Amino acid sequence: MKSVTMGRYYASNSVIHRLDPRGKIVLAILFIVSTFLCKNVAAFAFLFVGVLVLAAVSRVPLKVILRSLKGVTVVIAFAALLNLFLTSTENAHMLWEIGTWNGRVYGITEEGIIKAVCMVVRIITLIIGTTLLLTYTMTPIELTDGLSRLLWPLLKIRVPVDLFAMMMSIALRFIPTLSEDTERIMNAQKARGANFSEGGLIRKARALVPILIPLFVSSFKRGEELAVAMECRGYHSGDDRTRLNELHWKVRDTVTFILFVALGAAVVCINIFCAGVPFLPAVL
Amino acid sequence: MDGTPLIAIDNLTFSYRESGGQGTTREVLHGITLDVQRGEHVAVLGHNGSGKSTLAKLLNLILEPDSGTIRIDGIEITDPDLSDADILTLRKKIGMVFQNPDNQMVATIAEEEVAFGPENLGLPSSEIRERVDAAMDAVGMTAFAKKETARLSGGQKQRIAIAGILAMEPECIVLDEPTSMLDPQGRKDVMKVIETLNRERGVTIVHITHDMNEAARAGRVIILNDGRIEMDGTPEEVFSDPDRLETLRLSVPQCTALMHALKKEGLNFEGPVARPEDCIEALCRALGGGR
Amino acid sequence: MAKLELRNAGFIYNPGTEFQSVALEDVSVAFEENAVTGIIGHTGSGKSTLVQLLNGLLTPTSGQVFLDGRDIHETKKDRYAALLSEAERSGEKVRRHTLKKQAASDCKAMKRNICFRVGLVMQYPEAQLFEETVRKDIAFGPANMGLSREEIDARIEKVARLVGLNERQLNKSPFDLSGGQKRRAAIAGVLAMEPDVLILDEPAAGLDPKGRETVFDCIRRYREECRTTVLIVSHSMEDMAAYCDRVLVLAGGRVLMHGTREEVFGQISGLETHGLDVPEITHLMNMLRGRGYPVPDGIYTVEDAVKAVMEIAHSVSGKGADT
Repeated sequence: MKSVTMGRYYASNSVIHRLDPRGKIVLAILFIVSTFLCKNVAAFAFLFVGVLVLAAVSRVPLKVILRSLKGVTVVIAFAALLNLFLTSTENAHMLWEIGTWNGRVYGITEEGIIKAVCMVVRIITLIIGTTLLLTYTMTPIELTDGLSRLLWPLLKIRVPVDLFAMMMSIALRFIPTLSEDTERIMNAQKARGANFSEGGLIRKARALVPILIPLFVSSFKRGEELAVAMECRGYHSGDDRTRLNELHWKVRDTVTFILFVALGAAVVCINIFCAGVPFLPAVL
Repeated sequence: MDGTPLIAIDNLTFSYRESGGQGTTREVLHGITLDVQRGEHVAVLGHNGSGKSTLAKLLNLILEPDSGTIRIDGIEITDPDLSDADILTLRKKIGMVFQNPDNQMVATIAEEEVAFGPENLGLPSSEIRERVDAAMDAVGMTAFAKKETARLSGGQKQRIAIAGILAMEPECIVLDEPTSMLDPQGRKDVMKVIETLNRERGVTIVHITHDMNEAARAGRVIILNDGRIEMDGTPEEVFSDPDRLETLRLSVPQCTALMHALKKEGLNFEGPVARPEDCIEALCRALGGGR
Repeated sequence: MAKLELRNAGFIYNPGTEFQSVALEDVSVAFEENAVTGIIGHTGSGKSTLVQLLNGLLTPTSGQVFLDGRDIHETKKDRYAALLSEAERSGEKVRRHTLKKQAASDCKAMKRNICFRVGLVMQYPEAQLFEETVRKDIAFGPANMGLSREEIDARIEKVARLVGLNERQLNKSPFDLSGGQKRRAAIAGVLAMEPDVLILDEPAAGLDPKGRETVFDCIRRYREECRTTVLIVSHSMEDMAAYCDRVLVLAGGRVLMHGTREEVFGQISGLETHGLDVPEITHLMNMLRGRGYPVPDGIYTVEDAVKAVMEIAHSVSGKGADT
């Protein structure tokens, strides 16, 4: 069986797993803000250590975490190269000059290297931090649940948050099913000689018809049957539904929340007090 | 227990609107009359298109009959004045399990899937937890509670689906070809769960199937043919006439076929049989002594 | 020579990752021409992987697949070497350049044609129907083969007759057919490619007894008319007993048994210990043997069971008369 590895829940019973989903969503936002607040190497190093601690506490193996980075290696490499070569060389400590073009000197500078490293660290911390909080330690259901609970007040102004939440969680639930369907149908058409790789754009697009139509048909059928099954199990929208796992804001949630705010504050402090460390503008 | 049957169907008819023509209809059930008592294990047999699934959908208020009545526990479910709360109560009484396990799963995690029904009933979460754990235990899936449903086998998914219904504490479970998409192991596991629920918990079972061996395990077999009840009795009675079943596009279990063939050969074989365990006893008696 | 053959074939999903799983290991098996071979094994035994290797949907991670004695994944270099040695043997003078071109086109043709020569009907094949009419859907495969309009029409007529679809049904949308008809229409789509080898993965899954029979009758009619090698994957020993000449039993990604139906079913009680679903009648006869009656092994049809039981009955009554 093929498996989609990026953004998959990692079953464990760590403190992070048990945190309130609402809290974790807010923490993820706090965390993203913190990464963008970082202005120097010290702050980045501090944040990076923070993420490692988070990973250790979550008990998600490093191997699993690193796999989530595999998909974005190209982006990371691109960002690194961009910073390495395009950092302004004026007043910079040139290590290796490449040449002059359009009146601008190009080359690798010490500042460029630092910037590239910081950028890589930023992207990596950003991805690890958010996936740890939002996907590895939180099931898609918890995520949509948390999100809908955060947005619950909107129900008062007649935004059907509960319906959106249900739609989201069903969509998530059907991703593996649909990807299996797609693979099966593709194999069936390949076995009838369909060719998906040859020809120009139009031919390729037309080659998708034998996949898309059966996929639509089966998805509609699935949808219809699911609707019947849900109705039979007494599904109805509205706020009188209860939950197996009611969300309870606990002491550990408050503690973690304070820790994350402290982390952000620490980043700001480091920015100010370690200003001597090479400066980095908050771009991107 | 009182005398009112759990399910009382009286002269039920139903037609589907044809997809192409305007207003043309096709009657698929022509006057079904049927009682199911509490605690019964009923198998409904019939070839594809015999009206089995339609009957199941009518029982759960997914479809509305053209005429006739269905009473569940004495309440007429075809009454147009039923309130939403009444409908929910009725649906709680009769749970449905469908053929395709993938198309009835709402949640990503097994135990959240089982909790879906009780959540709809608005139960407090401590009670949902108790019910989910009990239901998981009843179908032997406790070890898979935190697993992703997508990673389970067909038979395991179907057992989770049964647990999801069980957590609503129904009096009756209607299963619409629950094993037809499963491998032999999955079939065996699901059949075992169905039988245990019926025998040990007294859950009434209506099992729609076209597998003769599964039907033979029920206490009562009803054969539907073209929207009519063709036969109704114990498996032994129903399978006593293989020629008639053949005309109904059905067959008999192999041990029943063996019994008929042996009788033709002149072996003095006691009574009709439908299950291997009964067949072996009858065989031993017919052969005498042994060794 | 075997029609289709696996030599030391293995297949590993997601090699090198933690999701790595071995589906098939060192499988060597040859399928004889014109035989109907049943492939049986429980879920996870590697049946589906095996059939996908056979028609080139998957490439073995080790070992080879041969069709009519030629490796279906042969590299250009190997093909060139083979052509060269052939040319040398026959003493013909051919330019190397021509041979190289020949090798390249041979490999390309093999890659393209393998799916037409080894036709695969997947599980629940009705999921592949997509055209406006059944006729057009059946034409999809033959059209991909590049056949002429006339040839395609002739083939549609032929397979429609074989699977029992009439003119009116051919012009219907496939989505308006009944379940059993959809299944047959989908099978017809593969039959119309007239493959040398026809593989069907659980062709009767989910159908009622009559529907099952109809599907197997279609396969039988096609085989009689087109003399094809047929492989049928099934969970059902009853189907194997009724429709196959040879049986291949897979367990844990390896070949457990392979032989004629009689050879394999002769050890049928052994199959039960491997968690395979033996026919009810076999199970019953095993129970009878357990009770101390002299029942021979290898009974898998009701007819044989009747014979065996009657023999016992006669011997018992014979003895009874003596005393």
